[in-house]
Amino acid sequence: MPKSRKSVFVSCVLGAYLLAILFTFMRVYVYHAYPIYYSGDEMPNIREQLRTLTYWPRI
Amino acid sequence: MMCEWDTARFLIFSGNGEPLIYYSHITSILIFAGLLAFTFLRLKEWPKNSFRMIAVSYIIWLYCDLILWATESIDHVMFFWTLLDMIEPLIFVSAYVYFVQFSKGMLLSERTKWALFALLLPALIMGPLGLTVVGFDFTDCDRNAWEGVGAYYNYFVEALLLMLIIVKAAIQLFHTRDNHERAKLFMVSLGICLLFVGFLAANFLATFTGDYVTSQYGHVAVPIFAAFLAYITIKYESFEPRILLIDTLVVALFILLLSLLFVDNVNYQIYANIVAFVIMVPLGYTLVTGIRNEVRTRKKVQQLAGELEVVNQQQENLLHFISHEVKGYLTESQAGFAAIVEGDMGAVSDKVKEMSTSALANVRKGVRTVMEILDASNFRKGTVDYKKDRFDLKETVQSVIGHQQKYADSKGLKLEVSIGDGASMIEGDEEKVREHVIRNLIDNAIKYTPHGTVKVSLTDLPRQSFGKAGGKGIRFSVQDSGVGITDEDKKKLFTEGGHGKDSIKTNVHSTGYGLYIAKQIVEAHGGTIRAESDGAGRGSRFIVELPAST
Repeated sequence: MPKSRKSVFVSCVLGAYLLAILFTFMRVYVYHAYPIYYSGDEMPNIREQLRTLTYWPRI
Repeated sequence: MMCEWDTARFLIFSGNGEPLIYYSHITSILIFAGLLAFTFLRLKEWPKNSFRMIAVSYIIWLYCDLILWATESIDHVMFFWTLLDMIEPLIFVSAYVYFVQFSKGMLLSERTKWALFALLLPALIMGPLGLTVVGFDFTDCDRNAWEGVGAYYNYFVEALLLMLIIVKAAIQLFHTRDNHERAKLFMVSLGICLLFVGFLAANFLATFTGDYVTSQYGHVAVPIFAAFLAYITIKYESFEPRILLIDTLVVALFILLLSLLFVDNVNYQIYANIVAFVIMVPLGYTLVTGIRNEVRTRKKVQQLAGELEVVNQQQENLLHFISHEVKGYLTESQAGFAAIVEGDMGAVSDKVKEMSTSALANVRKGVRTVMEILDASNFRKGTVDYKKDRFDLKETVQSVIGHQQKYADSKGLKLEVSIGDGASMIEGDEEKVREHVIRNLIDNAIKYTPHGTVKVSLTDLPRQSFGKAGGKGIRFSVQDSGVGITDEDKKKLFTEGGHGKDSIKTNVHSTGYGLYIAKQIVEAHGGTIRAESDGAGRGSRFIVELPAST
């Protein structure tokens, strides 16, 4: 792979990771956009998990 | 719910985690860091960046995991658990890239790289959306998170890549006929599969069984497999594996012994000892086997060297015997032909006289050659006796010139002689200096000069310019406009049998011992001999410096 293409690839991977980390940081530390389950009954199955998206953003 | 959690210092130090966690994680981090440092410091040009990527991503993963065990903060649990699930597929993708690079010995195609990136993307998208770590599990005080579809996706990626490696390895093993290639492929595939299994054992099982503590043994196994991978890579890429093995063993021992100091629970010490045992057995066994093989090889080499020395000695003796015998016959023939030529046998026809003259010249050459071989053998054995007389080097040079003049004339060469008026008395063996040094050097100069001039000079060196003691010396030099000497030939010029590369073309009868003998004699007289030349075809100059006798 030529050097310029290689750097595009590396930039994409790094960029994707940095963005993902940044958004996770915001979700957790800024918006606290996650549920806390006090009982096993509250924990969602795979289908129900999409509901958790509604927690974002939760200020 | 009230849970009593310690406050973590530096994110990773608290009483919340079991001591085993620190043992497994810190040991693994240090071993990976050691491997990483090794690849950067010792294998700078190493092309396996994917191996470094495994090490870096795994170190980050372990550090994040350590935070999860230590922290009391729910936010930290949610953030670092998500981060951990995003890095996890990167470890496996790097391991897959490493496998492809190593087994096929090539870089990945652009399409494969983007495909692997696409495989990572869902994990990177689901993480921030909260689909990997859905929420905090507060059903007990274990500070767990509830994992979602993103975590399952990671297991899918890991299983997929593991299957791909197994299938690819099996296909390649089936098609590879070369045993060396097969062994290499098998070892690397095995190493990577073990790395996957070690990691999966530590996480996958814990997710379903809920026993996160016991599963930590898997993390200790992972760097061992990584070290095994590095070892295999280095072995098959012609680095020095034993050095790596010793480094790894020493570092691992150091870390293990150090970490035992911090384990205060007897039960955990047992676990720690089991881990240490598991690490030490393969490394120690390989190292001991390697050293044993080396000792065996060294003994064999020593034995062969001894046998070779005996054979050499026998050959030397045989050569000495043959040379001695041949010399005897030649000397007798020489006397016979000399008697015919000089008329001691009475009148002979011109034809017989002519033949005898030619035969006498050839026999003399033969005697000289045999003498050179015999002398070289005696010098090597150190059985040469030197007379210690005081003689005038000027007279010695002049007597040799008298004989060599005819030879130079016969080749149409101009022989220029310059003898200074200074001191020329030296102490030593006149005959050896005359025959093996003076005559040899002038004879060589004439022999290796097709046309042109040979200049012989004898000068005294100023006081305090000779030797370490700063005594007075005499310089004898022979300069010619002949075939010259290359830099390569200069190195072997004064060694036994050390012909110049092109000298053999000019003088096919050269034994290559002449300059070796000259050097031995000059050095035995406390002098030096050296050769100067601007290169092939540009002539040469031989310089002998001897201490003057006071």
